[in-house]
Amino acid sequence: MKKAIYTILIILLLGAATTYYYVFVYSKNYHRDVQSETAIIVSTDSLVAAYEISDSIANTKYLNKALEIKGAIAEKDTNAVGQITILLGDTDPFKKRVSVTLNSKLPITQKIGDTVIVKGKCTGNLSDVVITEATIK
Amino acid sequence: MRKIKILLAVFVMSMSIQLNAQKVFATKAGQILFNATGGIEKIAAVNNQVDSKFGEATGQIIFAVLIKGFKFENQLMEDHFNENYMESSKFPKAEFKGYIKNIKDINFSKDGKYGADFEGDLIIHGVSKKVSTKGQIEIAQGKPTIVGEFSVKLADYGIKGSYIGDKIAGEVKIKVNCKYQN
Repeated sequence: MKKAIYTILIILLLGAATTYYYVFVYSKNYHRDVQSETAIIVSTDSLVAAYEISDSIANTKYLNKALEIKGAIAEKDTNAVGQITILLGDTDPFKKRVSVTLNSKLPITQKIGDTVIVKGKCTGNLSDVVITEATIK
Repeated sequence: MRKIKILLAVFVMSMSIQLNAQKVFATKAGQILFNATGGIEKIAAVNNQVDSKFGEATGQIIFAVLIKGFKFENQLMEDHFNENYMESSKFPKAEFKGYIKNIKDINFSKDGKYGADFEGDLIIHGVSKKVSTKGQIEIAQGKPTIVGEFSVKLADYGIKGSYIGDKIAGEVKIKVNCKYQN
């Protein structure tokens, strides 16, 4: 009888410890680090072309994945929270391009027209293909 | 006589082009924040890549946002938001397409704050609903910034989940802040 009570107590304690760890330790500390993931290597032109053909097909390949994209800087700016944003691709604003938000708020040394490689997460397609949590390699 | 007709035609065409041309304000880096806190734990996220355009003459406006672009402080919360509630692989974006009804009341050449009435279709989770809300357009050096706050009932957009109405508020508060370029 005592053995059964001890066993139940141990199971309850283990359950409580697991719940505590998941809720208060793991969930607070777990963060996706896109920069440490293996990226799909793609050019700006190929990425834009894929989304121009079909959003749904391109999404199956690129959505929520880490991408490493090579392209020329067409525009650069900062967003509402001071992060650096760059547009890769054509200088014509009416064409679809790749809109990248960098993690960093520090100004970049690269100029408009320079070719760069950025690594970040693809969140999908609006008027441009959107990349977040990015860095310049 | 023929020359006069040609000149007249050119004049009418150029007038028509001028009348149809309108200034379009645009941003690809607008901000949307939402707060769905229903209990003690904060459930809030921000998206800094809102794509928006509006026409100065017609008041036609569009906001578009990618669901996977919403950033939470808690990664597990973000994963649940995408997979279990918003089904963002199936419904990757949310949009508002409509009009600024009182666009004629806004003087884009005079700095200041103007009340703005928005009306249109809000599409979330693949469900489209007619909405109307009030906001503000601030003009500074010819550049407009739209700010607004409104609420959305998750049930209206077919968003279901066991924690809605408990830890997750059934009515979500949404804040918009978009600074436009021309």
